[in-house]
Amino acid sequence: MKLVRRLWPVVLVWLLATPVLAFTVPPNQGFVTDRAGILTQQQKNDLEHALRAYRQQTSNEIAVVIVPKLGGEAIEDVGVQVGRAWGIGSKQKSNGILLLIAAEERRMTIQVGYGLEGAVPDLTAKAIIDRDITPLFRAGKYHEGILAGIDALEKNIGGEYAPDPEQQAKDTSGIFPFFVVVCFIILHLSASLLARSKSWWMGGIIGGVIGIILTLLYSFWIAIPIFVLLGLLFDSIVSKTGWPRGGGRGGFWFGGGIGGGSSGGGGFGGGSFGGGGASGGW
Amino acid sequence: MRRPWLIILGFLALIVLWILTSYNGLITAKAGVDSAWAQVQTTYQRRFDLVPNLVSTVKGAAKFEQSTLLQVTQARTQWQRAGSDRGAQIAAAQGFEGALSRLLVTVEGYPQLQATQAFRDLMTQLEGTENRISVARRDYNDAVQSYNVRVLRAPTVFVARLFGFIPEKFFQSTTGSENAPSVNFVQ
Repeated sequence: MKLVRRLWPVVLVWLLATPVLAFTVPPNQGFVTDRAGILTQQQKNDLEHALRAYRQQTSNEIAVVIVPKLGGEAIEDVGVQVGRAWGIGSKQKSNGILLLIAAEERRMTIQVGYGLEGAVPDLTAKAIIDRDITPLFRAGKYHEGILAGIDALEKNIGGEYAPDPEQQAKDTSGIFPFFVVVCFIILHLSASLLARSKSWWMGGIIGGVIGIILTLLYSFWIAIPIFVLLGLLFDSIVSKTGWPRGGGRGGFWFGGGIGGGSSGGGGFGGGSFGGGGASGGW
Repeated sequence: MRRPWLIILGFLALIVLWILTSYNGLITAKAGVDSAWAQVQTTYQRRFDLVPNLVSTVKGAAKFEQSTLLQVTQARTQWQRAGSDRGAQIAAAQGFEGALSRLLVTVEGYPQLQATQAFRDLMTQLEGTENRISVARRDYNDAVQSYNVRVLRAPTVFVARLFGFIPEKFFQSTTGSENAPSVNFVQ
């Protein structure tokens, strides 16, 4: 009870600070995210497989999300929120479509990414909901309804976007180790250089230059003092420990490698949404 | 002898660098506001483009109070006259919002009109447009927010004053019409 009383102001501030977010975007579980447990595992796998294959062929990304309830928000707003948070569709083309289904409210929406608004106008999305999905949903055939909807969407999109030849090459995981190796070599070289020089301030100046370059490139202003300090620290360390000039043993620096940078889950491309599409109930 | 000069020179260089980066940041934020506003304009244009369609659909089916229709078309003319004046455009858009919701309320008295496919299609399009507008408006306000923070907060405020950056206005919807015009009668 005491704890509650102590936490109450915090909760109050938090409530006041986030007035619109009655709905929290669920974690992405792939092309099909079923938070309401409407689909069986088998059906989910089928859909997942079909949508993955569709992306392979056309580069378009269609995602299906089933939520138990909307928490009082308009389904279109929730759709835009989820679509943007997950980044369905590629970043350049925004060729993503989100089929969002709210189980409790018995409502659904098709939200169309910017890049597909021409291929799937609002009237088409509405027709797909009313004609293809709703009758099956009313009969309780959710899996079939979703399949019919996806099918109709794919037919309407047709050949809007060609498969992406860069899709395979775009995998940046190959670049990352290379980057680390380059960083390591630079670090190693400068370490032996700074250790040889008698000055303690050289590292600071080099750090400052790196910081200025970073600031000019990314307007990341704080980089300058940070890099100056890092440079000074670095110089004093290598000067004191008597870093072996010219390299040789390397084990020292490998330990503190850069903590693995995970690239956001789900693997959607970063597309955006502007509220295009339509909604309906069943 | 030359040490102090070097230090002063370095300090000056840092200040120039800082001014440059803050200026660039302000320009970027301003461009964000402008492009968000362009998106708002596009979505509003889309809504106004539906007006002739709306008028012909409604006029044909119901002996309508002409004044309601007139208000809608007037708001459209106001929008066209507004040119690139952001304040006038916002006013026109808000006038249109009021007129449209009044029109839609009146339409509720005509169930035979609501049943036609043309009217239902129109409502679907209008609904999609309203969603786009609310998204564009939110994006615009977010862009204004981050721009204004840059313009008003120290220390960037000095650079902003120096180059004449002024805070932008938020797009507030008129009171009572936050979620208007609600287009909910298609099922």
